[in-house]
Amino acid sequence: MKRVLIANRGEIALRINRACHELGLETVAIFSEADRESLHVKRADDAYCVGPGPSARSYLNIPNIISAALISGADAIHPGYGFLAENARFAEICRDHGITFVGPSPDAIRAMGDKATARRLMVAAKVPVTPGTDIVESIEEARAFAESVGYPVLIKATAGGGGKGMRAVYAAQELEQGMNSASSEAQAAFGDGRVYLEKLILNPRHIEVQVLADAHGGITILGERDCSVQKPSHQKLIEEAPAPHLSAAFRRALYAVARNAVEAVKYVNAGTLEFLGEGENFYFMEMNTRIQVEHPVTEEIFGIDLVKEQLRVAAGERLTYAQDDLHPEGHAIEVRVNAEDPANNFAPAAGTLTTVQLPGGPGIRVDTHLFEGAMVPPFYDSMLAKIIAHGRDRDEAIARMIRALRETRIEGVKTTIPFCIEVLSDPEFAAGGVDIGYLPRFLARESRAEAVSVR
Amino acid sequence: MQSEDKETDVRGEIERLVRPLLHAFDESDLVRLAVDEEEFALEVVRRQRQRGEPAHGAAPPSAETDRAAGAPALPMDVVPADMVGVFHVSPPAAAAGDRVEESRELGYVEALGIRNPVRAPRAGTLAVVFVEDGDPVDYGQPLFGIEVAS
Repeated sequence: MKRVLIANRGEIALRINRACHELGLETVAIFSEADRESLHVKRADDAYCVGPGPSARSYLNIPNIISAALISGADAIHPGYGFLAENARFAEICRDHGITFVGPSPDAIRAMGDKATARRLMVAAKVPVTPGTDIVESIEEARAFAESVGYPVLIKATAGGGGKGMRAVYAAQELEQGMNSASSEAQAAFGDGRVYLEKLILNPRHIEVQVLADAHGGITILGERDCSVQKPSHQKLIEEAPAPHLSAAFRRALYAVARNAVEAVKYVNAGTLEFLGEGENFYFMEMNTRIQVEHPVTEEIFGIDLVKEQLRVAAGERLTYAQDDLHPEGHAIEVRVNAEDPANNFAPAAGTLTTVQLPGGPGIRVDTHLFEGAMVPPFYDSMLAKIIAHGRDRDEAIARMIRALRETRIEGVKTTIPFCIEVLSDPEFAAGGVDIGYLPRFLARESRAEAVSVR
Repeated sequence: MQSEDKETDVRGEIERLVRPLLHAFDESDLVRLAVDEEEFALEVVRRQRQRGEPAHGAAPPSAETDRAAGAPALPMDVVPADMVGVFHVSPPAAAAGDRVEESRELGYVEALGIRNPVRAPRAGTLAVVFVEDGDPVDYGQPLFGIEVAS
């Protein structure tokens, strides 16, 4: 492996570019016409425009991306997250053209990408899952399940992700309409309207385990992350590692299950197993077969570089670390700085950044593609930057994060910074161990307080 | 395409200047855009769409009205690559100054083993050839400039 094409944009394209350069690998950027002036284009050794602004015609344009890899002499493609990262067909096409896909095998991507298949495999590997169904073919089948486990139930699209094609149903009379709307939303978003049902665990914690495996049987379990601070749309906003207040028994069981799962699916490269936590129980939700947005919190506490490990594993090398070499230190928190207006249902914003002042100092890491004068195009994800704070303990990490967010000045678009400072300063968050209902409750409380003060 | 010597590479420089202009022009309601710098002149005129409605409603001025208005440069259609691949000249090679007919295959972009012909969008004089046989090209990269026949 000598030259890596980075099939992504924004902060993750820069993140991968850095890992490649540290390993002495050359990089090839791709970009859309809207990203011509972006930092990821300037930092790469070579760059190819692959299409116009809308991602369907550029960052998802497989023929142009493969063609760019071939004519630029790239022998590997790192997909980052989003876009083509979990597209099994793309991974296959790379392989067919003699290009190394930096990620798991197409089969692993396909198996984990189909939620019903993933669930079946996990059950076989003795991974705990929430009570649920296979694909439901009829409303009668759905009704029978819901009555057997009791409401509420969750309707989920088998091809789903990002909260699309998902409906919570609290009572029998809502079931049919929920099925129809989830199915048609999934059909529109993924071209696959098949849905299945699960018992809905009200307000669980979102706890996920980072795994890393090589092709020689080496497996490392890199602890857990807590991503329970989610917007009402289920998008993560604040993530941390380790998860606060987990018992030693919970952790032991969680890591053992994660190892079983990796062995069962013969998984290679970096991946994340997502679980719902409820008391001392946890249930498998899904496996993400890619590097995740929140990977830096794991990197900070373990002092490792997950993206470099991904590249090494893809090149057929062994992992740099054995499980016994890995000892987490302190606590890390990540805040996603998004170009969004929290007061307006997190509506995304686009525009030109007139001021960009980023934080620094002890324990602060900033992963971003921003610069003063940069354009935030309307076509993509609204994430502007990730700020990561690492401290001796959780309190120090929170104090550092609040300090860093106060140092940050981003003008030209509305951002989630002031909102995140409020959340980090909230006693309930500070106490640790909030569930996924926390942020919606926080928002409701804020809007009630606002209504009172207006009156 | 990024290259180390792009600041000194005249073709790269023209490309760097032309593409954002074309993009801005395309997004706008303008029907004519002219740049006349010391070492660089460009004029782009929106032509009537072949099929369907014109993109921005306004009727484009003819080359003659431009002349009458004293515009010095000839209107030029820039033909960009619409995919990533390797450019090849289609024989017989057309050279700058040659008269070309509409739909003449000027070259092709080879991508994933497939030849994708690049044709003259209209009859005119081939004014500029921005690329050479064997050059890698990316999306939107100018390949040819064709002066509109008067």
